[in-house]
Amino acid sequence: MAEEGSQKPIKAFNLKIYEDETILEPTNGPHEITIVWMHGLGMEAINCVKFFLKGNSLRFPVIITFLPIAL
Amino acid sequence: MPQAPKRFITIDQAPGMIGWFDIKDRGFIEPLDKAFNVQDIRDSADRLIKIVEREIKLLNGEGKRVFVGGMSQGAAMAEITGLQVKQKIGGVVAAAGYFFNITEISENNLDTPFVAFHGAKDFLVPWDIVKGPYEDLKKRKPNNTEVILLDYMGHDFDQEAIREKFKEVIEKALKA
Repeated sequence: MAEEGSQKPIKAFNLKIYEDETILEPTNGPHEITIVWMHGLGMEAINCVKFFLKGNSLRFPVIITFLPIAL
Repeated sequence: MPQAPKRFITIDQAPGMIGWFDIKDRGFIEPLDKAFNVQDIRDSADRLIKIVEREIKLLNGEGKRVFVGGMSQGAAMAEITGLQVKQKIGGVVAAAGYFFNITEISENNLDTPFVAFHGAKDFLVPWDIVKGPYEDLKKRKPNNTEVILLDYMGHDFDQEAIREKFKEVIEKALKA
């Protein structure tokens, strides 16, 4: 693992978990877009977070992603 | 927001399971209320539409910057939410879902990009069952409606294919 600060991260996020929503929020820049993503049966919103932390998702101009937990 | 209750899922005889709506029959038989609890679907859609509206407000009314997506039950909810919301949004990207014929497509989203991925090997939500409703959707919303059948996909999703499509939809919406 690289020493902290030795290289610039591709992206950095804040993760906020509420009773009824999980919010993945990049730490810098303005709020540019929102993706509201719904998980499948028996899952929880937190399960979907990794979808937004890999591959092309890191190239989204995403600033805030809301992942509401099911009713 | 209040803590939402967990649901009884009839098909699995599972109390307290997290879900957007009850499933009574996996055959997706018509009418819709024989297969699903339609009131659950409407209630969940109402809640999600409020979230989308809140986000549009946070983005100074620029609905084109809000996108809706999901997987399986979540994909079905993404489709009804994204098409029913009154304000124009940026797009809908869903995987392994189904289109509810009760969806009231808002005029503002008749041309909004809509992409649904489905797996030819999906035995839980078989293509043979969901293709009819998607064909109906294409008649009701002929522009920018794309249903992509992936031969190799089951009831899961090709995450990178969906991320790539999402990126394409986002970039197109932001350029408009």
